[in-house]
Amino acid sequence: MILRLFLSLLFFASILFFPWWLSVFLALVLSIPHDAYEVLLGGVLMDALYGAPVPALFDLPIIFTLLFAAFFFAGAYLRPRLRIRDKSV
Amino acid sequence: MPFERGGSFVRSGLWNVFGPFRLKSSLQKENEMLRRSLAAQSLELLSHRNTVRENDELKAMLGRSVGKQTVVAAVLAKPPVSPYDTLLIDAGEKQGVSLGNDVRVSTFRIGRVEAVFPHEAKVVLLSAPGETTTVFLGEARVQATAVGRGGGNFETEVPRDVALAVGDPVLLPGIEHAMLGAIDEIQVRPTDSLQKVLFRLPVNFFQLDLVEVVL
Repeated sequence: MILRLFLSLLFFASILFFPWWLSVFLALVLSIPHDAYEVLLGGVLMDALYGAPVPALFDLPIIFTLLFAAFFFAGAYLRPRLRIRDKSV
Repeated sequence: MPFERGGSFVRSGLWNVFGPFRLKSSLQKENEMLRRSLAAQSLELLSHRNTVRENDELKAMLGRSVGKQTVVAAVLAKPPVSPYDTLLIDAGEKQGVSLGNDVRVSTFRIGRVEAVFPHEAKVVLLSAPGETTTVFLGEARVQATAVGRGGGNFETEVPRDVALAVGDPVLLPGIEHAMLGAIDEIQVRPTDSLQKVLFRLPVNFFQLDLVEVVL
């Protein structure tokens, strides 16, 4: 639980102060063992803060919202199959 | 061959003894050459500044003053913290910034204001992926549409018959003839009817601290 809290704080700090790839890495790390709703929030925050129209997504700046949602659902799908127990619950 | 070995030993010994001095003299020569080159460049820059001033004065005499009001803004977030090739700057609506304002560094236009908040604004760089900009290429001012590729890089395609060379200027349309960069690479295959022109902004976004917003 403490590790998750620490990683979540680091995740939000990385959105504001560190290179974007660190945020992506932390989102992935958080998503695999937990139902990390904070990752979804982080994606929305990244797109709101830095987003620019993306022609491939109908000019919507939602790359990170989509990417982190994919991490979230991939984690939820893989967790029972990888026998990873969500320790935060 | 003990003699050969001995000769080699003596040569390497001499190299070790005198090597640093030789290196020092070559460094001195290089230093001198760089100083001369810098002096020449400084003169050229001075001449360029005079030409720019004269150009502005002539335009003003003809009733086309290009002096525009600008506001300086500090960069709050930039790549690689910002993943979209965007900047967050500390000037917003209260400082007179409005949507679509041009943003520049020195004489180089680098982006436009995409969103405005009371005290901040979001700037999309011209090199943001998918962003298109009309440019004039080379001395012949061939019009083309440059597409942003991220990280200050652009790509455009023109017919292969158009004579372009690496180092040719890339200009933006307008009376200021603002420069966007210089051609870095030209890719053309014998089977293609078009040539791909690659260039980049001469501004390092990773070290950017201040920008000017043209109001």
